[in-house]
Amino acid sequence: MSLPKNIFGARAAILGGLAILTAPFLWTRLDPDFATGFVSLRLVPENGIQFLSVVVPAALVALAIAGLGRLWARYGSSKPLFETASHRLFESPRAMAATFAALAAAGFVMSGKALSLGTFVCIHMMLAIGLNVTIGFTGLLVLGYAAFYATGAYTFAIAAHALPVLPTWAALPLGFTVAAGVGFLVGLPCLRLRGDYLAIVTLGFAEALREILRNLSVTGGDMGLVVPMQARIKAIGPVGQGHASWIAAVGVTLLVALFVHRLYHSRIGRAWIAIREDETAAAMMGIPVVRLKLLAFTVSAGLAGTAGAFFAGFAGFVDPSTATFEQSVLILAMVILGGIGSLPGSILGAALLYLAPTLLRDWFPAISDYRLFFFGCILVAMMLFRPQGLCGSPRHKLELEGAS
Amino acid sequence: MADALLRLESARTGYGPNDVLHGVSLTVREGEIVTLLGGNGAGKTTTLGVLSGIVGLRQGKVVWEGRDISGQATADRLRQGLVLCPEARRIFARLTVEENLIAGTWVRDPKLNKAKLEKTWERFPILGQRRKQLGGTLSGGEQQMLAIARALMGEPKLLMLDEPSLGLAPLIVEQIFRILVEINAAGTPVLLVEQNAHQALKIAHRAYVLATGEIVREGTGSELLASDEVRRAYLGED
Repeated sequence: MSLPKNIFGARAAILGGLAILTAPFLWTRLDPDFATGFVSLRLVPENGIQFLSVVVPAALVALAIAGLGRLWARYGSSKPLFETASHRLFESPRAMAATFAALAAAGFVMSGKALSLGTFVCIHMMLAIGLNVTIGFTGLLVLGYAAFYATGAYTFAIAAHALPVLPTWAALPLGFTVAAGVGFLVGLPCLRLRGDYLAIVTLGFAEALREILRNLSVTGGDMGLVVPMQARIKAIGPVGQGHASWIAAVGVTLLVALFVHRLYHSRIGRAWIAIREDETAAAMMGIPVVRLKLLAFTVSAGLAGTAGAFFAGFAGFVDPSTATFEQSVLILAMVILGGIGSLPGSILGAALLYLAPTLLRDWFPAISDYRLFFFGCILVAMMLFRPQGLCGSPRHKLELEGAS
Repeated sequence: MADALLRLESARTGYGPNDVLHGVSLTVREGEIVTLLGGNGAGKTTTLGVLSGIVGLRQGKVVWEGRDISGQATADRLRQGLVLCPEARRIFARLTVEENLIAGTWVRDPKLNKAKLEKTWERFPILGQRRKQLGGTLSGGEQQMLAIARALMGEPKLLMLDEPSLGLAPLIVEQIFRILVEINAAGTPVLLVEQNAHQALKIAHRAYVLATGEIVREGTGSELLASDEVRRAYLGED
């Protein structure tokens, strides 16, 4: 997290220009008058002040972090502070287990609202980790990942209605299997081709699926479905519903992270990276490229389904908004922010990007409408200043540092 | 005459409407180093593509140990020991040296045999020193060695190489060719595709010259090295 050397250089100028261009929209509002057809420009100073009250402290905090990072680089270790910390916390299965156990334990001093927020963060961690398998490891772009999230969520909701005896834990295998199956069928035709067909096909699939969910009676149309009580996560003995959800969420996230960690460090994981690096060369080595790409995509879809089914069991309802393009982009942004191809990065990116807009909405309601704008700015800034992500994968580090 | 290990019989193929190979035949026997010479666009890489199963045939056939393998996929050919070390090295830049080598064992040896890695470090000490380093950080010569070592991990019965001298300094090229002679001396036949005629002919037992998709000359390495035609076309001598 070092500060760019030429703080007044070209990049700063681009960002500054963007800020100047967007500022008027924050300070004013266009009010169309439908009766007369006139559009009036109204000044909304409180929005602007709210904006500044977020941006100025945020900039100061960013500067402080950058300064600390510099000091750390000079006197501490050669690796950036932030990256070192997140790698330590999530580098090995044992470290991950310890970190997640600590998180689960921390639940007992958290309020109900914090627990629910934390559970949603965990669901997004699962999603980001799952998407990383295709985008990060295998190099396949998926733009409609939320479709598999929705598949898992609806599968569990519909199954719980059809089978009143269905236990809550069944959400996980059920969500995984059905979403993985759907992923396999979607991937089958387009993974035989090279290039970004998968991105287009998944994007279209997500849009189509949302329309289908909105129009079928079995999926409850726009209203969605309420998950029957017996299938939801419930209080267990002295442990309340909020705590039970939180512990289950942390547990499942850990399972997902360990599963992906194992895969990444297996023969299959290495073959995925080989395919990402050079598909032709991988094929020449006799690596079954199509089958392994399909496997990556199927696993990835299955993990999204697990997250979706967990969501259904936790939130108690599912609606078509789980399959929106915005949801897909949010997950993609988490992977990119954290660092493509990096497991700790996905966990970190999910936490930051889920918490930031939510806290913004709670603390500064007037400007939370602009959270997509902030998203955009963050992604642009990341691409300019730190393309490998906050917590880039060890491979990128290895590449930058050379011999170890 | 020893039996042919690999035979390409009047191969005809191409891309789109145009044929690139117009009936190419060649033979590699046990123990040989065979060189296939040719200028840019002569069809050298396509020939190797046909042999390794990456490019389909329009006519003709590939015969391996007496059996027609024209219809077989690359992986099946690899399983029988027909291994190609591809043009421009094509190592995996973001896999470590060791992982690159392991990638080469996918078909032959799913449960990695550690002894094979040890043998590689012995043969290529420089790769041993850099085993944990990413492939992309190696020099061109080291990358070429890695590409050859990776191909050897597939336990070739015939090692095919596509221009291993590409873009390398003359001293490094000599080193690479010495390695090829060693590999051959250890019992593996080599089919070498080259533009660097001088070096390639010096180590070859036999050689073919390919021009616009046809074999125009054939002979022992020293015969071709002495031929005026080859000297003019490939060695820049009048």
